[in-house]
Amino acid sequence: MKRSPSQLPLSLTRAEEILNAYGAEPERWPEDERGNLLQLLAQSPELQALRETASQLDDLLDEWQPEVISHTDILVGSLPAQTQLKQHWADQLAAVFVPGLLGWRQAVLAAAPLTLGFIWGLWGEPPSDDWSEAEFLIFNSPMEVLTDE
Amino acid sequence: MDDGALMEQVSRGDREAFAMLVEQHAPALHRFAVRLLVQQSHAEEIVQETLTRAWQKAGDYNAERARLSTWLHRIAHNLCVDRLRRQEREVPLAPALESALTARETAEQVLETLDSQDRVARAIASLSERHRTALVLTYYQSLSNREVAEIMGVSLRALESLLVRARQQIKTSLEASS
Repeated sequence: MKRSPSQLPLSLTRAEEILNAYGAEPERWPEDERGNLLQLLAQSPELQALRETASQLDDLLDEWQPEVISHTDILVGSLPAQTQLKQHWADQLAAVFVPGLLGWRQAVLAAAPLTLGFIWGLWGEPPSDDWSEAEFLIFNSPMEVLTDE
Repeated sequence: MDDGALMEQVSRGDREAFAMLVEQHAPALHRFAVRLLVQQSHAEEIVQETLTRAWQKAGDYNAERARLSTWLHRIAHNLCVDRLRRQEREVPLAPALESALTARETAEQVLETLDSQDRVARAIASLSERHRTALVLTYYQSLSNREVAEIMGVSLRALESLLVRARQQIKTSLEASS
């Protein structure tokens, strides 16, 4: 069975390579070798000395902290058009047939029931003169039919 | 909000989400570009270009393939390398090596006008572009060795060689200047 680097014992040479490349801070070391290197360091004065040397260079590197300006206002205020703007499929379809519709989408949706009612009124079935039995009973019944005796 | 959700909103044209992205990532990208290019004005252009591309290409981002930070650093790195190579080409008559040295001298000349505390900056500026990139990404940008190798398009072994050499050169430079 193949073992992962974290399960393999770390050689002294490899430990030196890691310290020389990544410096003294464990957070910069390869994640899968970190635990083994810490264990080896605890047992090796030679590696501890190498880590101390690496730490001195790390401290010097830390001295360079460039000043950073805020880019938020500059960038958000001058954004170009997105080339791959994702839209809902209905918006994409609407944009193809009726350019400029998107801003009016909500108004169009709100007016849809009224429009459908209007169309139904124009082309739908004409009102029937036939009264259903229930309607006949309600509107033409003598009072005795509607009241309990 | 995780990287995938943030970029999904950005890809839909959400400016507030984009402002969040800028606030979270612009400072690190700016430090990266300054450390690589040395000149503040060039670094600012790189950050703006990087984030503008992120806005335009947000739909291309895949959270399963890379952290947003890695994706943005890859864009910034490519732009920085283009910028450094363009600077070298701006001296067409000089031989290649001389051209590279001229580009580095320009960066160093800028630093000479700053305070003497910038010995470290000068030492880093004297590195070659690849050594500088490896060091800056690994040391300053809180990226894992795998992420740095991916951004630079090199193996882990090659990255470590670059780092060892970079640290040795900086140490020598700093000892010489002190």
